[in-house]
Amino acid sequence: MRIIDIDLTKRRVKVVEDSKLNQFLGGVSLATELFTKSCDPKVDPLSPENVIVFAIGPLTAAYPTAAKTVAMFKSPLNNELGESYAGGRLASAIRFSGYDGMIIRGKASHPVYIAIHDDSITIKNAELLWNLRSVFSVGRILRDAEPQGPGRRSFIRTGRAGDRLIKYSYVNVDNYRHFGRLGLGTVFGSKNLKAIVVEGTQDITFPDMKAYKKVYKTIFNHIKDSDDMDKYHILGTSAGIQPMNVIGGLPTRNFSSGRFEFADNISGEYFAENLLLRKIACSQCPVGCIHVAYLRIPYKKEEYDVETTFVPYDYELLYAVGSNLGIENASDVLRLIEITDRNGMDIITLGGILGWATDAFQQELITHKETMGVVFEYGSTMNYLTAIELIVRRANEFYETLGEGLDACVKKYGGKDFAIIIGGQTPAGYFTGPGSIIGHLIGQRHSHLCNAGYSYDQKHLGKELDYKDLVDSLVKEEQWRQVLNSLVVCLFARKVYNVSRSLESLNAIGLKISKKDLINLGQETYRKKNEWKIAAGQKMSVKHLADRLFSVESPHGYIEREFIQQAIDYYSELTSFPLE
Amino acid sequence: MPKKITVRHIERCVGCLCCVMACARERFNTLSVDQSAISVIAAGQTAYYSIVVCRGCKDPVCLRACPSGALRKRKGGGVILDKSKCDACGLCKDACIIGAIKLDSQNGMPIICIHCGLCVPFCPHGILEMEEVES
Ligand code: SF4
Ligand code: SF4
Ligand code: SF4
Repeated sequence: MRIIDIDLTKRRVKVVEDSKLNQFLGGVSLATELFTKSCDPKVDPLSPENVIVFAIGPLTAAYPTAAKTVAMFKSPLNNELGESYAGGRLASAIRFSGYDGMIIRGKASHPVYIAIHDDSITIKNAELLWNLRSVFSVGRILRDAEPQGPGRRSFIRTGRAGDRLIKYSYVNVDNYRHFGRLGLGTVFGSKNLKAIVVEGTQDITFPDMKAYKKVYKTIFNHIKDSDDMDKYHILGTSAGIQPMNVIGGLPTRNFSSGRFEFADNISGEYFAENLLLRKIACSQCPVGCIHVAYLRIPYKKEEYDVETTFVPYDYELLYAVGSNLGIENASDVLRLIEITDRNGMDIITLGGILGWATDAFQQELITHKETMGVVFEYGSTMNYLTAIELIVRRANEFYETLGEGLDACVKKYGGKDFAIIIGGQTPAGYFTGPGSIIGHLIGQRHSHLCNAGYSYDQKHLGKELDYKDLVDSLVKEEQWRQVLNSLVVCLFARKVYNVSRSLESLNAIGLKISKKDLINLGQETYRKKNEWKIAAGQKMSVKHLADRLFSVESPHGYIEREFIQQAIDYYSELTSFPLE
Repeated sequence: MPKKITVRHIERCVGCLCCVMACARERFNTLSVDQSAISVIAAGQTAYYSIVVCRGCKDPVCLRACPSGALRKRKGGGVILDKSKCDACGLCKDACIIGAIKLDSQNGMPIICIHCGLCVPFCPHGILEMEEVES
């Protein structure tokens, strides 16, 4: 393995070649090894001692959908292990520049960005990029400043939320993909790191190109011809809005209901028919799930002037700043996505916070005085737009607190009963039943939306749930996903990359590994991550869950706290994870 | 009738690079973005991708620019490179202003599409086609 090791404090760049790391294959397994060896679990996430690790996998760039990069860091949002994935061109750019991973330590004395072009790795001045109004401008400027390799390069950068240490700042990857959750952008900001540019020109050959081509073609055709991936290309993830609403699992107005009466207006179908501009793919991905809409906002109406922007949308965003805030039409949802994206914040977290703030305002826990006159009201797009601006500006104590995350808000202003936070962060948009909550609590990739919990709920609709079976199957699935995330393939293609297909694809590029070793690798990675989480002080708890989650009907009826508690107790027995 | 590759629906491209990687893999036996006779380049957020590949000229300007006679006409349009005659001067690359010729970073010789069609089935969105041409 070839790993870039950068210390921003010392401005030192090393490239380490270490064959002992080969046993970790890549991706999350490699990242876990690098991260747990270099980051003290007790570290303050915003101190120079926090460490950022990026890793790609053995299949990266070689097979369809192997386009993800894993990032690991300690999260400033919940003080736990941060693990996040992003697509775009980053993974293949790292591959073609000849590296398997990257470690970033320390803190630069002033704003910098890192430019990687094959063997040349430099730390450059980024003062001019700091506090720019738009994360997209940062991208445009860097494209001109680092013109090499159009078509295969990648630009990752933070928005001004990251510069201002808002706790849920994201890292934007090539405009339309993100390391979204748990505040990687905040960690960038705390290190005075603005961006990373990666580009390289290496060619790679495998020992048996014939075998490789054959397996490639099988997988390519499977993805292209079967229905397994269709839903992701046709409507994208937002295809889920309608069906989720029908079963009553679409979080609405801060989880006060699972049904949104305006779901039709913000559905994948509505977007595709009326606002879809284009679809885009990550590198080497035949699916192309990225859906980009155009947003046209007239201003100076009498002169027919318009602002036009291009806004990517996904299920989670339509829930977070759509149904969850009671926004009734698609263009308004796009406006909220656009402003959050432009400033570089995680939209799911922000949506949860605004939902809480709306209820808190209605119940007069906060008043005009705190909100600087902004009326928090479901459905009122303009007011939310103003509030978001004020959060980014850190305009007063209240908005500063909103920028600290939902936990901080509750500590200061109360409203725990309706603060929808599960395991340290606002959840994904699935209120499907106990599985969705338990999946969030025990899921290892807290950053990630895809825990198997809500699909478990959906598979067992109308049936009595057994907490042991639920936990067993979630743990088993999560351990297997450690393998997929070590390869690293897109989890949307998890049905394509089953065990035998995964082994076959590794063998065809000359990596002989047995089924047993592959499964072991997943389990071992799972164990190591839990070990670090426990050392960092993470505990499983049910206490912190808002009453609202138990007083609103889910597709499995009212969820019982007791059931969640039993599941957590059982999980703790299985894994020795401490309970609170 | 001989055939040549054509970009039928440039507006539909999703920028996946599957065609680029296919040429490298199927024709050049390597995993690469550069060792490929077709390029896909993003044009920012507002415009569609440019898919750059040889147009298969009947009277190729690249051939006329070559001082050492390393390029000959291909039946159906375009050119065939004779590596033994190529001096790696890059004049063909400069002559093809659409950018269809890349130079190999190792030996400086041109990488030019031979209209074999191997990449065509790997465009998941049916953007590339083989077109029959009068000989
Ligand atoms: S390389 Fe350029 S000039 Fe030569 S045949 Fe192709 S398109 Fe024409
Ligand atoms: S037609 Fe053949 S040579 Fe031309 S780009 Fe496609 S695979 Fe490459
Ligand atoms: S394979 Fe098709 S969609 Fe993908 S980059 Fe090439 S032309 Fe575009």
